[in-house]
Amino acid sequence: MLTASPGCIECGRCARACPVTTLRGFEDFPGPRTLAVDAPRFGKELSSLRSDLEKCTTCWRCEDVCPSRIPLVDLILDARRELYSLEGLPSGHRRILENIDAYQRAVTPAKERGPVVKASAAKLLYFPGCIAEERLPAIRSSTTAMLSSSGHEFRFAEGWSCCGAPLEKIGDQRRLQKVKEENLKAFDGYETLVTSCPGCLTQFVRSYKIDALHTLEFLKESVSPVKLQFRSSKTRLRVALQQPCHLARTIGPHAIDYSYQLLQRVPGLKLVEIDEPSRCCGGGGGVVAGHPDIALSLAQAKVRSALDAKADIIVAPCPFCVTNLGRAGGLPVQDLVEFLASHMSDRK
Amino acid sequence: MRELDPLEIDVLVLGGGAAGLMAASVLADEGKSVAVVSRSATATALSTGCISFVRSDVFRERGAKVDLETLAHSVHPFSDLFDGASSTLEEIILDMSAFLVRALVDEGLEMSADVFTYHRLLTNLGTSYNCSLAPLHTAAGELDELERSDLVFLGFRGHPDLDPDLAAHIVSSDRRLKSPSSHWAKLKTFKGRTELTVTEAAEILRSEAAKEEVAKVISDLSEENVAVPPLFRLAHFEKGMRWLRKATGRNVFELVTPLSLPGQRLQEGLEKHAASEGCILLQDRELTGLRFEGNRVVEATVVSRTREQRMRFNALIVASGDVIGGGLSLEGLEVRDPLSAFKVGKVKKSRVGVRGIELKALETVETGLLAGNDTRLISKEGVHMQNAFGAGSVLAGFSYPTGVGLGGSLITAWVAARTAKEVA
Repeated sequence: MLTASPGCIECGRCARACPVTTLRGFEDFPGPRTLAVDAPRFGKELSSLRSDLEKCTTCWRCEDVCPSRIPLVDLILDARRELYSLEGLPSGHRRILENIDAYQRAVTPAKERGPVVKASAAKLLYFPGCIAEERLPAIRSSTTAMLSSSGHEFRFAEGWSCCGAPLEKIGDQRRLQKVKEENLKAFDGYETLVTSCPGCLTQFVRSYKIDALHTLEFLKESVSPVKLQFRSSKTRLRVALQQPCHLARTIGPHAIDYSYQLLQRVPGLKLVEIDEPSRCCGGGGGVVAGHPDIALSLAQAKVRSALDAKADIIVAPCPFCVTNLGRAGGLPVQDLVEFLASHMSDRK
Repeated sequence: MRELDPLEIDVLVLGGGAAGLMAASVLADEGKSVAVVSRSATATALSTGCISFVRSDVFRERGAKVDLETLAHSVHPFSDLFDGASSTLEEIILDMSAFLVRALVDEGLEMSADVFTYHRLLTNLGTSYNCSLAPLHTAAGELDELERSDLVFLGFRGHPDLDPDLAAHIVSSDRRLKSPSSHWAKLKTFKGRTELTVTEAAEILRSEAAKEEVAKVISDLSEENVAVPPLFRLAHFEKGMRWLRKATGRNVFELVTPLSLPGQRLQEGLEKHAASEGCILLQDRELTGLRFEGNRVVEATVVSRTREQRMRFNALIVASGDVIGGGLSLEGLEVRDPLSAFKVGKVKKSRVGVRGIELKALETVETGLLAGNDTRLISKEGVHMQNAFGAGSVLAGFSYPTGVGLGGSLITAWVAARTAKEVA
């Protein structure tokens, strides 16, 4: 049974900050307070809100601005868990479950496999995550290239599964537990876990209780700048950084500072500030699979902001942002680590 | 929790509102290395962006001019706080204002620069508002001037900040003003959207086409003075308002509006200035620990969500806002750890009664961290801290509305920074 949360002062800041409510209006998405606070308080039938609950991108913006620090996102996830049933599940969510059952991945596997890295006893474990592994292999290869060239021995976890972040967002407890157990077994013996995906990272930190790192944190903290030299961006690229929700607001704003600091090391490029750079791109929370039209309109708004700032490219340290912003079209979008790798200097 | 590399700075400022940023800028200007740790929205960003040093009840007489001495002694409760300080309150107010006005001009926000001028302005609800410093494009709506010629409130359908009919109705109850008129404009560039946020509206109004359309609407009005809601964000404010005035030949001025762009502009201006002075702005961080050595605070633990960072410093400035809320509380009802290591209490006496406020509420807003008259904080055990200072509404008696909002915050921040300079 969900309980009403005390402390809501009904200031409405969550709804004003919510990217879905502000873009689509209350008719389309009633907002965090209605779903997480008012519905349980007034004993409203939760099942009638199921479709609305699916529209939250779990960007954590509402919780961030809440003066009473009500854990709004967790309450929404609790409600999704409570309501979970195969019946009535959006087809996109159903496909995710099928893929995980069949391939241990949230998406169907790529036809071509990336280069195989020999199994080793390296203490550094690289977890690309489903999107970098199966959809955006350049993220995976860029990361492995940067790790290797900076002299870090690493390995992949043999037999790894989806981290479970999509399952948590859908509310499927049983599969969530299963993939977690599979991964903990696959990770055995690691000292440091590095991932390309803020979604996986958040899952590891919050649910697995593993102090994992995003690749960019590792590059910033453990790779000497001497080994990470960049050549000049010839065309004087204007680069806009999209700040992924699941880095900025769950892992920590230091990761965003690191992103800017790493980009600033590339000579000749111009960083342009887009309006509300940490506003959600729409790629999270299972919304792309469940309500693709909402995910697309958020992505389009983001691309418009970047075009307004006269950006040549959007860079994001997040495979989900890259995929969803790519759907909007209009501007090239690239993963931050991939972008950095493509500007690595040959000189060592 | 994984640790980030420790940070060593001369001064750590807790809180990134007006008080924290002012103290940080002053100290950075003196060559100190400064980091500002902050979390979430500030009360400054929710404010009107106008600054007062005096209580309005001192100015019951219309158009009264005051000398600084009267001004200083009418200020509650600063007079008590600065007994025995090296500068007089008069000097502090003048020096601080000069610094502030210069800082904001550098970032593109021009303020009326004379603290002697006491502005009587109009709010977006049609009520009157008194303050000492206001943005130039707001100060252009001086009530005394408006009494001499005609005024129209201009609202835009879909823009949330001004209902011109309501404002005109409220003003008409003030017999001193000629009955103002009201006008609703429907902008094509708003594309029929009925519920824009102020930021969305500002985004649209950046475009030349939108500005031309607004200018056309204004030119078609017959009144000399045109009151508008906040239309532009900081980056476009000066240019946008100047252009509108020039293009229409009217006195277009912005109404005093809380919870909107004016507060955000002040916040942004102060942030940009602190950054340009070299301050490290660490936003969205949370203080979780303070380490004391005798009468000094020597280290803070700050969390960036999932990573901990130790910060060592010579001086600490606590500018974290209301300890116990006066309606703008951002921290619930408890004094947050580890700030509870400092002594919490009430100011000794109120010189000026506050009209219209319940006694109980008044008691609450008078509560805060206790400090000596140089803003040095007092520990829970009663030890006067040598290198920890309070600034802004975290101090007892400075929480709005027993203090005077931003004015009180900025003055205490100035004093805290001046004193901290000696130990940092």
